Amino acid sequence: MLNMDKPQIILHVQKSVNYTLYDTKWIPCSAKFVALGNYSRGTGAIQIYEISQGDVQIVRDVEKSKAFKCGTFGASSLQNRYLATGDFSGKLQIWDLETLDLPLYSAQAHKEIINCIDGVGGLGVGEGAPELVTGSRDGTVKVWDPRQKNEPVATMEPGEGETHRDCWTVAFGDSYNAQERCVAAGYDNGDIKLFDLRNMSLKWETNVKNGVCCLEFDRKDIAMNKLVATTLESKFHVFDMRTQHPSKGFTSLTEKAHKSTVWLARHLPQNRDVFMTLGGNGSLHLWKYSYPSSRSRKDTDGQEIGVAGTVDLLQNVTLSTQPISSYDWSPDKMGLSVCTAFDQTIRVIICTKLNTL
Amino acid sequence: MILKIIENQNATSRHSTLHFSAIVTMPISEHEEKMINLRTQVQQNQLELHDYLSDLKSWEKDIKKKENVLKSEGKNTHETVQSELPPIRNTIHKKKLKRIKKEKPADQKKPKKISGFDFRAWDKFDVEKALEEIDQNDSQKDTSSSEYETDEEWEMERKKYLAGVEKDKGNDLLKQGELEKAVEAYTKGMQYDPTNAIIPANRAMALLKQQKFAAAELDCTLSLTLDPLYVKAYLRRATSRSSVGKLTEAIEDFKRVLDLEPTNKQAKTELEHLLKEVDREKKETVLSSLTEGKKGLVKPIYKPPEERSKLPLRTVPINEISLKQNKPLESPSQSQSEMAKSLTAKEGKEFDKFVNTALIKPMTAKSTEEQEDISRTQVSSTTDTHMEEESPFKVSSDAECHQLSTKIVTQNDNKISKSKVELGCGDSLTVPTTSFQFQSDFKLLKNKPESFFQYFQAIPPAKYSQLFGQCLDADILTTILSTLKVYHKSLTLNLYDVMLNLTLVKRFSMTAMFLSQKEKQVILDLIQLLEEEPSVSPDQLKTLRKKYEL
Repeated sequence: MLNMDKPQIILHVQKSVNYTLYDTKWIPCSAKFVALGNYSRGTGAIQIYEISQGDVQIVRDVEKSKAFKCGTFGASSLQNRYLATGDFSGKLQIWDLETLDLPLYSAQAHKEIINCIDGVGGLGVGEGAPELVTGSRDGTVKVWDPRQKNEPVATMEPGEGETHRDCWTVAFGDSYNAQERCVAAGYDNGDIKLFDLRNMSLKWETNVKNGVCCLEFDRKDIAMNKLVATTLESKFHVFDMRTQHPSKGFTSLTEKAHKSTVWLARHLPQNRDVFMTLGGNGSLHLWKYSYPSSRSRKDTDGQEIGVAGTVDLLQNVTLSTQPISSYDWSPDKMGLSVCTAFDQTIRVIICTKLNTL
Repeated sequence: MILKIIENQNATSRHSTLHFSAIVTMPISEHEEKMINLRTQVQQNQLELHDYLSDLKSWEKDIKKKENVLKSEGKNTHETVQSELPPIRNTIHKKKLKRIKKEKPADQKKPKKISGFDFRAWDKFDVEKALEEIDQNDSQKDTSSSEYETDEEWEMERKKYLAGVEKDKGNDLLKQGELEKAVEAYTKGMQYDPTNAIIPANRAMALLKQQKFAAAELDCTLSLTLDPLYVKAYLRRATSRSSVGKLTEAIEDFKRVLDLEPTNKQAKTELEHLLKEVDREKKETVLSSLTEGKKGLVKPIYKPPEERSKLPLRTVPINEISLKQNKPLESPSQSQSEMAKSLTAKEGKEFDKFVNTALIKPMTAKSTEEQEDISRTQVSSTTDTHMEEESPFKVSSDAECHQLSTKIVTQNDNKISKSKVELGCGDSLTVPTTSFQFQSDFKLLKNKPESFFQYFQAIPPAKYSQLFGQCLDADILTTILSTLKVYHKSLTLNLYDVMLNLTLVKRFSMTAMFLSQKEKQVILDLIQLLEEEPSVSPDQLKTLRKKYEL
């Protein structure tokens, strides 16, 4: 009876493809999702699928010259739903999914592969300008405004003489009004840096010892609340971002999971305290964060310091033998999600009872 | 029935479940209980999933409708949404301001003028407010005054401005001697404004100081492609070229400078210098064959294979020879001492004329001995040791020198109204007040170190920067420094003051750059002298070294 009232993670549909999958995203306000990847001949794949009657049907299938690594709808309006992609050659492109022949926007954003992309300011969520952020192997993090061609609106790069770390993940946050905005970036050496885009300054940095595979704020469009960082060596950290101590920064909790690399963490759009982590062994873990009774306390010097809460494992399931490369909750239907794994399979997953948490 | 009971028990704890099951008429084992639980769970989940899937189907339909609505709406609302968006980060929107400005004057009503006799109105008049308004208007005008027709123009102007800022920063850093940072600043400036010819030329200067001659030459060339009439770039390129041994090209550059600016002194002197050097090189190449070359210099030879010796190679035993036994060959300090010898010889003659007594003889003797000493030991000897060795000499000569200088000082005091310096050999020169005067006097005294020393000493150090203005060329500087070196003992002025004030003269750093190794040695010796003075701190010495590019 232990699992009676706990959510169930059920594999709804799975579909094999003939290319390596890197990213998948639900198209907002639809029952469709887009899958991005890399054909073995080095070309890029954009495929659009639609779920209907317990199956997935392919709607569109396009092959482009460069392999795609990541994509986001975050900076596009809900009407347009333009997909922004980063590819292996360092190009940032924006596509109209209706006409995929030519990109609407294309810029040589980085010298090397764009590992990660995030968008904010679109989809009718939050405020502020629509902006994209890209992180690359060349060590730079760049912020883009789709209205400005070719040039980034902000660049965060290592100082001269410093070694260029591979940037593995970027995430927007703190975008609760038109001015405030933050970018969190995670690097292969375990560095996490938080850039304040309003002041154009480094707000906070820390090192979690292992390479940071994924960073995600629980919400982009609220004042920073929580930040989840997943790392190599089967650990993830949850930072309480409400209280920044002048010297100790943000308090965090650390949890072991998956017994392998924790590739991703994705917050449930309908409940920001529930998130899924995806493991290198093909497993999915569903977590719930519980806040402490008081989120901050005074330390011996009278400075406010955050108090970390706890996480509980709600459910876990192993779907694949290969690492899960991407995962996306449907923003429109609670419990519906899609994930891709390196076994070249797209899986539509259903989580039940999420509304009772 | 059983199912129901178990479901009830869910609410209570597990322990009580066991208890309860024991009481129930139909007993169930633990295993059975588990199985039943599992069944209900699976059933529940199935139900849940079934519900979810049917829900999903209806949702799929709903979302499709919603999507279609969105698409049709999207075409209409597209533009309005765009205009509501906040501006692009980190860009300047000047064009819009202009439009606002045009509209403004039409809206604003001119405030009524209050007549001078309407005292009631004046009572109500709020002066503070009126002033504030005026201020506001002013500031508005200020912001809109620097507007440009298009964003591109504005952007260009902004970048040029930034380039200027970086250039100034670079110049400051260069003055402070932070060469690498200066180079960085100039590089940034060049990125902002690649059409500016001055920035690469300045970077070349910084590179020259770092002795990165090839890079400096490239920068100068870049600067010259942007502005082929930029004299400084030619000068710097010539310097860098001569430093890497491209003498003919350097000469060409200097000639070009003289074409553009026939009065450029630096170019003239450098050109002469270079031409001489080239001549000498030619002679040397003619003269120096294998046999009659300088001792210890082995020139490479090439013989075609058939002419080469057929004899087997033989090993030449190498014997360690201590330096003391053999008189060593050419060394920099020796050549320097030669110069000093000639100087002292000259000075001796001059002094004989100046003073009838044999006052200077011990001094010359001393300095010659000193040179011999240097050549004997071949160590870059500190003057300290010599002084100890020759302390009797020192005392006597010092006393004499002191006598001499006090003489001058008293003379100065006596004739302070005229501020004249009486010099031997009939030269009577006043303390110069203009750079022209100094120049002409310098020409007269150039070859009379002693007189020049007297003359120079009469100039207060604080006046140097005014006096030399822009014309402290290498010739003057080296003359001053070598005289200082020779007569440092009779110097009434503070040597540090003199050295420091020389560096404050405009374009000193440029002159210092062109000093040869020999001349730098003179400065080094002077600084060594300073090191012995307790009143001069190591920091001061450090700055001095930096300024003299040592």
